[in-house]
Amino acid sequence: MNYYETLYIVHPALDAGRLKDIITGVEYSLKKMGGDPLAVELWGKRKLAYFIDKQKYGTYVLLQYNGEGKCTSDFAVELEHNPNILAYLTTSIEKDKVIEQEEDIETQIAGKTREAERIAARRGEGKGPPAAKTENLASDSTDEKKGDEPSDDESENTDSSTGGKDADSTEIKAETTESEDEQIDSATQDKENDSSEDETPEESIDSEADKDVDTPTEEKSAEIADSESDEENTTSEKSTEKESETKQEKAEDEPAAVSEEEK
Amino acid sequence: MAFISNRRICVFCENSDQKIDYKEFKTLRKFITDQGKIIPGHVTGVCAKHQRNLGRAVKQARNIALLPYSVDPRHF
Repeated sequence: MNYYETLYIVHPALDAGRLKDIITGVEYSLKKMGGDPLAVELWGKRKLAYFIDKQKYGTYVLLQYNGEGKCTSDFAVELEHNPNILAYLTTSIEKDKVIEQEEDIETQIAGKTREAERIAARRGEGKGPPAAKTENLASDSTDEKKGDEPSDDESENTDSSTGGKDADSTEIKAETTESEDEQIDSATQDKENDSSEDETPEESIDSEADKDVDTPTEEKSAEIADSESDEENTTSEKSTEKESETKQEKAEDEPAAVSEEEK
Repeated sequence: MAFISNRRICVFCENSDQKIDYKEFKTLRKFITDQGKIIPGHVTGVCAKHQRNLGRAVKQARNIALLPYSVDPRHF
């Protein structure tokens, strides 16, 4: 009698109940071949180093037994024809390497399932906080969106306020332009007054315009002469009015100056 | 000038508790490269006897998909 151990990989899709059936079926076939199972150890679902039958994961089960040499070959044939077993390895061991099985296969499967559940729970917890974070983020985002809406409103308000500011600025600009226009008008009036006092620039301009206008054809010159005559008349009238005004102002200023000198 | 020996001592000869078994794939992983090749004994310092057991254990572990036969270096 020799001692052997067989490590085989069960299909990962099998759940706890079917896994127990597979393990018990393998033990039954071993007994049928003349072997005596000593210990069964469930390693659990592990990632394979390479794909076997397009499977990335597999449930490892270690079975130790004693028997004649012929039972191993018959047992290998039985495992080979089992479609739920992806791979197997049978090695001879010494007697002292036999594991003392403390737990039944049911408790081991239950423990592995519990471990798997714990791992899943941990992963779920690991994924949970991010999910919660995502939820929080989602809520935050919603809050942010909610917050954004006021901000949008604020921005709209700001836009409207800016628009109002713009409107105000335009109004202010309009006022400034009006005031500037008034100032310009006053300045122009002052300038007109000054020019009316001097009378030289307008005359010079008119003379220049005459020079420019005299050069074209005679008809145009005649028309222009008529228009110039009208303009000269208007300018002369204006100049006479302004002269009279300035004379009156000077007359008003001169007595005051004389009175000051007398004082 | 004193003679300084560069000869490495076998890990398994030093530690008799450390067994070579195909199920101990975590220890076997130290004696294979990233590509999955078995590192020669003159590199790791493992003696010839333990190197033979080591090679056999690595090959058994490869057979049951505990260790890879080869890893594509482009995947590193």
